[in-house]
Amino acid sequence: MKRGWQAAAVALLVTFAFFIFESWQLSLRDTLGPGPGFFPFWLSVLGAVLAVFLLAQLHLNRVDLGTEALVFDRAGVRNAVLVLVGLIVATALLDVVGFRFSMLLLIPYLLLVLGVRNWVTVVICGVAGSFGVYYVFFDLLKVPLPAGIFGF
Amino acid sequence: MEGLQLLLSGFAAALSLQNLLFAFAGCVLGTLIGVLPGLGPAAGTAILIPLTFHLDATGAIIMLAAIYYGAMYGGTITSVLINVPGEAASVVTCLDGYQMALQGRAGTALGIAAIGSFVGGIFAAVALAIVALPLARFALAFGPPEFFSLMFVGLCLVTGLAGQSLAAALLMTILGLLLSLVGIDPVRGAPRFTFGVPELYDGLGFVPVVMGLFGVAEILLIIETPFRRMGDIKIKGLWPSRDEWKRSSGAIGRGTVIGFLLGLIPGVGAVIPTFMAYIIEKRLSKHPERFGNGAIEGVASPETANNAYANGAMVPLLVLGVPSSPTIAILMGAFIINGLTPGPFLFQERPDLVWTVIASFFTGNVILLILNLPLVGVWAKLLKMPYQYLCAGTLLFCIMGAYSLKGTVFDVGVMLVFGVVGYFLRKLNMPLAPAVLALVLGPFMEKSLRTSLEMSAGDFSIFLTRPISATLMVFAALIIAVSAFQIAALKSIRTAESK
Amino acid sequence: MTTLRNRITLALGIALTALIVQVTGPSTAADFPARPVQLMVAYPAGGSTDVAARIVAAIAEKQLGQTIVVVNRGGAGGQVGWTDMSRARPDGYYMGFINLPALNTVILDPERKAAFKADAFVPLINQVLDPGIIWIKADSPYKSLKDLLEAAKRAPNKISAATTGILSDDHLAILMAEEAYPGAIFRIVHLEGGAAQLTAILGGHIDVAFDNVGSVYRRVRTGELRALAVMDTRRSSFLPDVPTTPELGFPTVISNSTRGIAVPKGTPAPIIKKLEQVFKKAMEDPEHVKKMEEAGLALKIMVGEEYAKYYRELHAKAAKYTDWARNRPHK
Repeated sequence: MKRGWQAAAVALLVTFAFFIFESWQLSLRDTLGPGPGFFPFWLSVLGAVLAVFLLAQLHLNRVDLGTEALVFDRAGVRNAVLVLVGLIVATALLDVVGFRFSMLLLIPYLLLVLGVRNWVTVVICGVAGSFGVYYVFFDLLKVPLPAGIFGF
Repeated sequence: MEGLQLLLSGFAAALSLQNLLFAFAGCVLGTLIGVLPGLGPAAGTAILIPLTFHLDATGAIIMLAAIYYGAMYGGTITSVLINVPGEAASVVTCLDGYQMALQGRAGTALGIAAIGSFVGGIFAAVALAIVALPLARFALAFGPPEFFSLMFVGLCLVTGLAGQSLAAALLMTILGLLLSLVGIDPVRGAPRFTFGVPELYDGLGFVPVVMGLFGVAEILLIIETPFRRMGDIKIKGLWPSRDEWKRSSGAIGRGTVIGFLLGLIPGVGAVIPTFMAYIIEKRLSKHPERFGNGAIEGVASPETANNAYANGAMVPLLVLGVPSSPTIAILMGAFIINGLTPGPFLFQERPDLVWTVIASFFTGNVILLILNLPLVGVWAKLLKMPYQYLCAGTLLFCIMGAYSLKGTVFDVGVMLVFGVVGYFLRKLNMPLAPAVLALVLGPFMEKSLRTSLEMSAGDFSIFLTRPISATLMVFAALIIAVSAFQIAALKSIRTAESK
Repeated sequence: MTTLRNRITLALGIALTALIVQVTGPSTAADFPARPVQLMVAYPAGGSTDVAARIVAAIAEKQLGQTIVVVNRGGAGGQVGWTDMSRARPDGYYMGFINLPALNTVILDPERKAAFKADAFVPLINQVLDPGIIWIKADSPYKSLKDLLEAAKRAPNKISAATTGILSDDHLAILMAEEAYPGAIFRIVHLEGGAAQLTAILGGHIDVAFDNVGSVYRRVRTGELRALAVMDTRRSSFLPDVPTTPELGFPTVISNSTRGIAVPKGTPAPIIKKLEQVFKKAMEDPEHVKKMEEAGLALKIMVGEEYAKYYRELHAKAAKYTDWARNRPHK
């Protein structure tokens, strides 16, 4: 857990450094008062200082991290990554093939990755989750859903 | 008292079959809309406005208002069941509501939420009927400097969400503030941290970020260790224990007051009252460590607050004609489309209409309770679904919800990114709530700060020279002082113990 | 497993065929529109642009023969929605409302880094022209516009004036007023939208507001607020008792907000013609006129070249004031 927190603190430090750099580019102050970069700059400086402080605290073991250990379940993480990849691909496809086809591909993919083996259920869920849902929400309730470049 | 008489005749009209039907339809539609994550009351109400074109003015408004507070409850359902905030104001409910669900107490959580919402709504409606006018005038005294000070107080209260490490909480707060600054600078119009991506010009979007941090992250966690998280959920009894009733009643009482008062101030929005109520409840509690682990008052408090807020926010709308939030602005649009101008003259010109609408808040809240309480057991059973279907279904709804916000795939992408971020933060047990609160408060604070400075031509003392603002600032200083004192005291106790 | 592979191939084949069939879809004006069209509003739902858009869409779609889906793409004062439109396919299925001079200032302000220029859009038809209005609290000490300007001159940078956004038509109007009354300097405060102005003025935090007739005329009629002037060449039919700025001796202070429909550059001419016809008919429809009247929005229908000319002229005018706004010492 300590390693994890240290990694997080470093990540935050990098993030704040980025914000410091970007807000420096925007004007901090001009004749009309604080510029657009003023608040983000000082906020990120404060953040960076705090991140260093946290790193120091962690080094000196002054942080109460509880008793839970940071454990990553190998197989579980593999599934999570697969799911994430599927989500990213489906999202990228949303505007290309439209909601219905995108979900028609995604839902069965998710179910299969997570271990469902009953093909009938997979297909039914796929159709219901894509065309069915689209019908209820877009046609009946007029909720905006991606139509794809082909308009459907 | 004339007001009472008008209220009674309002009731007579509100209880007409037609108006009851409208209220009922609104509650049902609203709950359905609220259940769809991301599609908040704003979008839902806007979408359904054309439906109301064919109704008479009173009926239309009754229905739209019912949709609004119905959606508040719908958002709760998904927050409790799958840790996905159905809409912005339901975020806080996720903190304890979902934990309760994991302990098999989803039914209880939903039940207390329904009851709290009911009580909050009714009391707020009563207050609305009685003290609307003088309170509205008071709320007008809140200009940009007062607003900023109020938000600042809210931010100082974040120390109450600290948990194990104050430094971590502060870091999360600053991260949230910085993320909230992404977008076009409200004063100069210069894009900040946007890399030329126009979808970022309006900021990251609170709802996609929160849906990612809470909903998607949770799904990823479940996928990683399905049996540890979802394996053993036995649905326990629905009824809260005696002790829980006692704690909840206090939370409900405080939530009502906080929600209603904040509803009077135009521009506050529905999220902030839920946070304030939750944090205050945690600070006043004798066992603050329970919060975040399934404390029933952690659900009762924000739920009551957001319904009390919904009715409280009607005060500026009806009395002054000022909408408190984008959703209420849509309601106001509905008034206007139907040829009515909300404002003090509406009270004089069409008192029958106004009092009927107010009376329907009562009937609407009752209907909501009757609708939802019996279904609570049904919703809770949903969790017994095999986790694969739950995950796939949740992700499907999250994608739909995120897309439907602005009709752009970008928001879905934001949600996924923050899903990953949230996954790691949760694995590390880092506090998410301070970041979320900061994300909400950030834009308000910057805007009101700069507007205040425009008003004072750059003079910072404006915050201390105006009475209400000065009081709030003193209050904020007190909170910081008390927190610092508590931390120092705790530290010295710990060092004393370890010796 | 072979059966699994076969099943997958079959499914993919069906999907692909369906997609291909759709690609070779219609694209000539005669078949236009063959599916629902999108009408984009660059502001959140519920605002006056949105209300007007939904009213005209409901009527026009009967003519058009296909559903018109009103899509809200709010944000950054309209910049998000207009950026979207500038990148949309110019096939007639995507059109949007442009608000002037808001669009002009977004393009002209270099800090905004707009991704498009003025020629990215082809204006089709204008719907609403909402004249600017200067208003105050009912019990405010200022009895006339001259009073106000004189006060702003005597105490420069002390009288606060609210706009509904930076570089909005209200903002430019304040500058025009200062130009017309040399020495008068207002402390300009940028709020977000008309509702914020209401609370600020009623609460006594700000002295005067510059906005548009459509947002406030009802309250002026009831007496809750008082209007000092309407910034148009003739009196507003909604507020016949309020003098115009030319009447009061300030003929150069003319400001208004127009909302009309445009399409991305490159949309085929026959489709443009068809859309212009459909919407013109819809806007002249008595039901449309009636609903707009109820909403307090003044119709000013300008079609095709007339609208395009207006757009270009306004662009030139806006350039001058945008420059001034950015360089003004007190902002």
